[in-house]
Amino acid sequence: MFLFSWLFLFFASADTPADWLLKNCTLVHGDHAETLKNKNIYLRDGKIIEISVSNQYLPAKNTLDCAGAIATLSFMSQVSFPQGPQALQIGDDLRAQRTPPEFSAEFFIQWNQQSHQDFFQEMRLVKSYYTLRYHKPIPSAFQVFRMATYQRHRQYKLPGRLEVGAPAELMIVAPPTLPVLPNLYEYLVGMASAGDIRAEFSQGQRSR
Amino acid sequence: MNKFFSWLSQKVQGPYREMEFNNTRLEHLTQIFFATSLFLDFFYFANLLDESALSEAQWLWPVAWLALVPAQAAAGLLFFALLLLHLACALKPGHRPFKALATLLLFFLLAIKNSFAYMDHIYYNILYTSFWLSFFTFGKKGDVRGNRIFYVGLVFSLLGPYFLAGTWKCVHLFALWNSVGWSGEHTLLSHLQMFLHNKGLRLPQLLALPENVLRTLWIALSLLEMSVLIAAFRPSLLRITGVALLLFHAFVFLSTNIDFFPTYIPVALFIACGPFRPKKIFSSNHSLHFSLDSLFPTHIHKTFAAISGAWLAWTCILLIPPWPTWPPLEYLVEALARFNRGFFALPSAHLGFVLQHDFGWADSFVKQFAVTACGFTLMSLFFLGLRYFAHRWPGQRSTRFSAFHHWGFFTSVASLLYGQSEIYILFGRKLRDLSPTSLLAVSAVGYATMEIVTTQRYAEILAESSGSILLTLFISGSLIVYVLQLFSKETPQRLFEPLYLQFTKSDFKKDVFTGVCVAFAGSAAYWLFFHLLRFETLKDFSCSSISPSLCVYLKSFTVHEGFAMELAQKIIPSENFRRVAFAIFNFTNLTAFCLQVGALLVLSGRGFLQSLKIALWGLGIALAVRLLFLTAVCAATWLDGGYREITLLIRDVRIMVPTDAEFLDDACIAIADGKIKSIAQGDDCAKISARKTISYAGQVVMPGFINTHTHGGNFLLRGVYKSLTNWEWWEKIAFPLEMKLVDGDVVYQATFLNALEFVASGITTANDMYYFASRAADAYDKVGLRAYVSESAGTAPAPSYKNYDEMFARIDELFVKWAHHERITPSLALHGSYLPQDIVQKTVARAEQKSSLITMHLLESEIDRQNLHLSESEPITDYLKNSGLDKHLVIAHGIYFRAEEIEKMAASGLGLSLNLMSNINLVNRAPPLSLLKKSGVTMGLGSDGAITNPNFNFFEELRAYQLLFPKVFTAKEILYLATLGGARVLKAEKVLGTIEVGKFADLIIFKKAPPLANPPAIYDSILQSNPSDLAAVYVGGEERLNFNSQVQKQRDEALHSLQQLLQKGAADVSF
Repeated sequence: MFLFSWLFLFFASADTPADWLLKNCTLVHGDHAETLKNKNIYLRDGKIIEISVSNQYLPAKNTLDCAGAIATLSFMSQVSFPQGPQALQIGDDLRAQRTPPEFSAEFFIQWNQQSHQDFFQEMRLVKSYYTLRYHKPIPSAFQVFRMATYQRHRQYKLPGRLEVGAPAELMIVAPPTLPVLPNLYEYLVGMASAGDIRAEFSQGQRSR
Repeated sequence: MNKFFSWLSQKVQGPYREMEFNNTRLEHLTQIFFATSLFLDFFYFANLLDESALSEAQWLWPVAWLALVPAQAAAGLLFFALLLLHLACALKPGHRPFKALATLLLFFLLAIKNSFAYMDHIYYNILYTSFWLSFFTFGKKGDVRGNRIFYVGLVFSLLGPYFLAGTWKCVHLFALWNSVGWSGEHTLLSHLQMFLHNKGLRLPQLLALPENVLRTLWIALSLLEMSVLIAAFRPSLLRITGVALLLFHAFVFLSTNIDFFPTYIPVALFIACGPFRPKKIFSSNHSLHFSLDSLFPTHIHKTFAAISGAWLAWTCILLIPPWPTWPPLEYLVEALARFNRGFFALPSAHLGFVLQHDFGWADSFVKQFAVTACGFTLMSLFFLGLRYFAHRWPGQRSTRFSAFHHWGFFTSVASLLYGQSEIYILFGRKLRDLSPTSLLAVSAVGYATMEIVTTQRYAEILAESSGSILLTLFISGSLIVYVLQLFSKETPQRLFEPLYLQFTKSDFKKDVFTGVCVAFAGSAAYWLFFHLLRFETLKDFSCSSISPSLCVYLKSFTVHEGFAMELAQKIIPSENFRRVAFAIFNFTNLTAFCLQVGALLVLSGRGFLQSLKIALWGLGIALAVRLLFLTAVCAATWLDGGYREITLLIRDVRIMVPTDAEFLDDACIAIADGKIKSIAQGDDCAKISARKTISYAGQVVMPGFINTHTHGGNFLLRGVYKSLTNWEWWEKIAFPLEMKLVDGDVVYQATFLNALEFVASGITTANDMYYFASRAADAYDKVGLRAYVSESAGTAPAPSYKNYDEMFARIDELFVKWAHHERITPSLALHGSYLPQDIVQKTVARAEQKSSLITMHLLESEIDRQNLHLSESEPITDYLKNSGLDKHLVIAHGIYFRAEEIEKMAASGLGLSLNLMSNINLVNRAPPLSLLKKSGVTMGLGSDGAITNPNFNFFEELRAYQLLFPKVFTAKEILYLATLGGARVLKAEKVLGTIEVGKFADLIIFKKAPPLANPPAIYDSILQSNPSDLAAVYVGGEERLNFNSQVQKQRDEALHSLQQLLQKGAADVSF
């Protein structure tokens, strides 16, 4: 496996260098609950071209050392997005004292950027509202995170997960200070805030 | 070099030795000077002004710079001048090993003292003893009178603490008896005690004696301890008493750790088996001018002396907190590191000495110094390497370690110079030619130089500098003497010899009397000056007002200082009477000091009145020093625009006020003594003169948030909540984790980190219940937050106690330690309704006694009704009333209250802490907020612990109420709940919760004006803020948000420590 990986890197290195190497990241995949540590993510031409674990690095024009920070799907908050039947505007609904709809996992979270809150807070609001409404742990942190990322990516016909070939729409989030929570979705939904975003990549280029 | 010294030596020595002293006026003058110098306690200059007083009194700083920096420079110059003079005398080396040993001991102990951040009273006495030893060695052979005085002084120095400790124990007995546990996290011996306790091997467990019997035994043993001093004058009783004392310490160790100081063991050993030969001492045929053989005449004595010495060294090490438990190397390394100044300089200097005297190799100052410096450098590098290694040792959790030693190297260099100069001074001259004053001067200057060179912080430098003024005076006096020696035929040299040599006629009783006086004079002088220079005022009523000598010892036990205060308040309940008493006590103290020093001067053989006159002169000079200092302060203050009561003026702000106006524009807040002194607007603000003024350019100021329920120690397990019912979650997840991972250090570090997050979120007051509450209080105090702190009474065993007796002991200690703190308020807590009713009743009794709050988890789930055996129709409020809880209670959560109970709650004024996000995270319900509000229940907001509410954005917590219950609360009402509502829940609305004159200046200030600037929209704008929008957070008028690098460093260390702990724990504990 190591030999294969090394050979791949050897031959790949002869190719055009990647635009970005994000090394030593903790990958929160976005499509399933698994999180993978010590991943190197290569971006080129607006796409993810490789995710590896090797200490041998492909040539890259730019390098960002995640140092264990979380790499995951971005919220795509910079995109103006038309409202649709599946949009959940819970913040606006509650502020206007409208009752939000019954919960559906097919919702995507529509965040009103005019608000002073950040998207992480919006995710927490979704979780809190429905938990209180149903008096059940609905939705889970993973579900909420998917509503905030996966579904939105799908609206743009993106894969909705971090994998080779997917558009390089991702963000780097500082990890939890204390390693108590093995489930990083719980951390992202329950504790993180906009101030924890260390970097953001859109169309393969660093936007933040 | 040698020629120069020789020449200088001849000049200095002069022909004065043959001269007879016959100038009475000069004699008086020098005696007064000596009396003055005794006041200037030679190794405690640094404490003459304490750091906290200086750091708060910012208006003193320019004064300090103005007056003290030149004094420092002068002191430095004088020191080096003196050093040169002394070195000049080094050309005729004498060979007086024991004198050198005695002085080395003095220096060694000074160095040890200097290596510790603190000293307790036993070290004072060791130092005084060594002081005595060094004095004694100046004596003439066969000087029986001197020996007597020496003996008495030694006995008092050594045994005096026993007498006072016995008194102290009797006084504190009833308050502290319950502390039969252990102090836990401090020393290896404490761990051993804990081990014995766990095995059921401690005396109360083994004997199962009734408490009264144990108390009686305790009193008897305390009386025994008090009797030591008396026995000292009955030589036949002394050894028996020593043996009894050993038994006493065994009892203390096995039964309770109250006041267990292992350093007493060698003293007891010394008394029981030591070299005391009182009969011979008091006979006319025996001299105490002993060699080592006379000191330790038999092998048994030598053995015991060796054991005592080894034990003393070891117990000194054991006294160092915090104490790593493993690996043992850390013990050694840390101990050695803390001893560095003594260890470095002494062996190095000793090496030089041996080379010179035994081998004749290092026959010049230069060679000897070179050898010493080489040895010193090698040792320094070795120990520095060890320190470096130890600091990075896996599992090293001592945060104090690294902070302690950054300056160790420089300190050691200074120490080397100091030690070297001492060695030369002592070996370079015949010792009796040296005056005690000059020795004191060198010691003092050397010590002060060490401190000044190695001081880390500004305030400390100022503290040193204040001593420098005195030093300057002191050294100037010494120089005057030298000048007199050089140019006057009537030299005062003889007057500067040990005083007892000047006896011409005396008797045994007088010897004893003077010995006693001398023994007390040192501590008396220290305390006199300490208080004279502290600008103590009537309002600073403290334990020193009770009894000066008792206070010397009480002060050493900071844990019990609060108790002493409490005791004083009980004895004299009226504040005005206390003030009068304070004045009387102070006057009495002064008189007593004068008398003591006067008695000391009876030594001069001049008669009591004459001596008293001299002592009063000394006192007058001491007072003049203070007056000089005060004059300088006043002058500089006047130059600086006069004294200003207002410490801080916050200007150009928009203040949220609890009046119809709601907001005051273009306003200012004047703060004095941590409280709001006045609020003004417009031009009136310009009229206020403050020591410091800060403008915030139109930003909004509101009262700080009050977090009415939290568990700071939960930070360790931040976010470990599961979707289980409340009780299941706590029983299956939270509590086992806490039992596994939580100890005192963890609580401190976790609470420290939690408190920093609180401040960042605008919280200025927290109501915290957790284990190891006193450590949590330490953390809140460190961060500067206001906190109500309580030891959580829950399932036993718990992380901080094995049973309820220990729990109450911890609670009592908490109340004693934090009784009078300006920001920390000890309180009580009941973890849940499952607790036995006798525990509830004992808690209520304490709340009644202490007028304290009780925070209790109540109706967070419906299981509480079953736990309390309530019938279906029985309201829980009736139980609260019948149990007496209702008068003190802060109800945390309170989700499942029924309508009729809510009505009763409102009527009884019970306070309720709402913890919405925690409830949601545990998939619980929200409290009946609409009904609670409608009924007028007193409510505040709480975050609960980080374990169930990991998000530290308190603004988000507030917004949850707004968004999830938009029809219940307006933004203004939510801000009310987070401020004044919280204050009412904590029954502190008179001092917290709003920006009003007389209340604490607990404020939060925003970075920019909210976009919606007028009420009611402005409240909504404030509610949409986040921690990043805060410009400043003030607690008691002190800015806490933008903390310094020291706190930053401590934060990183605490975080690292907890991360390591969790990584270790993760292998054993399933999250």
